[in-house]
Amino acid sequence: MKNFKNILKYEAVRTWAQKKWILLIVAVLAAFFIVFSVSYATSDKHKLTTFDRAKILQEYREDLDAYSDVLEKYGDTLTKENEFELKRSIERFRFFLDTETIEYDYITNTDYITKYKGYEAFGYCTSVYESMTYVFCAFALVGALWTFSAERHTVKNLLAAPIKRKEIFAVKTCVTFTEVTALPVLLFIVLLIVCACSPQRPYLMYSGGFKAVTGTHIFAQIGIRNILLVALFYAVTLLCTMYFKPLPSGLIPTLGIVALIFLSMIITGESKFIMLGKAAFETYNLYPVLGLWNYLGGFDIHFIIMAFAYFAIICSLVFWSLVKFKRKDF
Amino acid sequence: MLQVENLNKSFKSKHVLKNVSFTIPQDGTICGLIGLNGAGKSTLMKIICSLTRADSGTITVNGKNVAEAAADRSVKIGFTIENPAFYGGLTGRQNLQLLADLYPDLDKDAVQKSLYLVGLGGHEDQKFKTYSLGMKQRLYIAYAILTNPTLLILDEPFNGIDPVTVKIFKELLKSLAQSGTTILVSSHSILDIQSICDRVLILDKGCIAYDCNDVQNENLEEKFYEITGGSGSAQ
Repeated sequence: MKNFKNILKYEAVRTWAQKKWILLIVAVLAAFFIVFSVSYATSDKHKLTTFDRAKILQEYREDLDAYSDVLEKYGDTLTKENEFELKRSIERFRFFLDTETIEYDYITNTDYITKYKGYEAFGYCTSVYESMTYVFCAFALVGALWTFSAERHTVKNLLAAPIKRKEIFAVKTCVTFTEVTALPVLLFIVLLIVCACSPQRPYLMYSGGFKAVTGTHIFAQIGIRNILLVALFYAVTLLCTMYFKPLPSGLIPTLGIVALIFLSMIITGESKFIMLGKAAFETYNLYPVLGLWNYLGGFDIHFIIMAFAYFAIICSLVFWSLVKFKRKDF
Repeated sequence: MLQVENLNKSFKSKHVLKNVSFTIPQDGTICGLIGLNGAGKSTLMKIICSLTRADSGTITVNGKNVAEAAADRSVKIGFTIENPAFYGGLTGRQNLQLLADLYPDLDKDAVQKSLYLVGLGGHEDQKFKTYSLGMKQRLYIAYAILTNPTLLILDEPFNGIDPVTVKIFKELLKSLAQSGTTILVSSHSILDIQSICDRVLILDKGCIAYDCNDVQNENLEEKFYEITGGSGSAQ
């Protein structure tokens, strides 16, 4: 325990010795926050239009009958993708008719950051937090590089002390991990409170069926998934620093994430199904489970399972880094 | 007593140390290590300090594995390997105190004592980034001797420092040896090594090519050129 305290004190002094850089990072993060906030504040407001609800509901009834008819008559001849889309549309119409609501009553995943008159707070929270996540990922990358990579030479002094390598790794990793995740977590808590205290517009989500949830519910899901993304970025970069020098350690996770984003766009882009065939379609069906970026959002059981899976992956990567650090040649 | 037996180390396809074995039986011995660039001197020293793991072989200090001995503090090891590395924004004293706090059994005045022993008295409150190369090297040695080490490993401590500082270092090393510290020191200057060492090992292409116990009467320079062929590099 005394070793942990000593290394913690060492890290505190080391951090304080870099206070100019810390101030710079805080200033950059604050600048981005202000830019994103101003960008949202100055964007166009969308006024909610008045609709003829009875007419729209009647259209839903007619569409439901027509779609159900097509499914009954031609269900066997349809492709799996078309059958899936048809069934989901039928479910959607049934949901609207059962709840006597129309699609314009809800926010969907395509426009949750849009500024609706009367519901600006929710849009602001999600818009700013989504935008800040990429900045936090860059910060996590810098933090991971700073844990060991940036002090490849000074860490020898630490290794000279009568402290086990695993203790050194544990404290240094905990300290920098806390540093890189503290800001996203704090911002999440603040914006969650703002969101929860603001007027709520229902959000339509799909998870084995359609259901309406509150904006706060969706923001909580967005917040947790983004914090996990930041943590994943940190863990991947930390592992890279055990194998590579600083520059490639920073590039590899960045390029990896970009590649994953493109891959997910290819898999979920409907026009690609014909090219990728059955495998892509099955992946698309699993997409709400595969990733935390649920197609229609939602803080459901799939998300909870995936969040735990991501947490397990992050822990595995950190453990792998520990194993490598214990055997690393300096 | 330091005993190195059949030490082997490779980096990728390069076999850097090949069955290196030697013993320093007497405490308080200053043993010099000379060799061409790439001969394996730094690697050998890093392995003794547990910064690098050997592929095979053993290193024992007073009969105990060196890593275990250092961990349970039955042996205190101090070292200077490669360039001095401290935090530029902190003073010399702050840098040393930061590291001294990692050693629970250290005297309160150990930092001040070390700084004065290496001749940094009066400069300890200057920021490390303002130090000259010689002062940086002194601070590094101050850290190495902070704990009154039983075993002191110095990798080219005289590099880039002025003759006055070299003299101070030599006197310091002799004083430490007299108080029982075993010292393994490497240098490119055979003259410097010959002036302080009781014994010299010549490392060539990863092997101990020569072990000299009569340093004062041996023409080490001639022997060195004879062994290494005078090519300038071990590659």
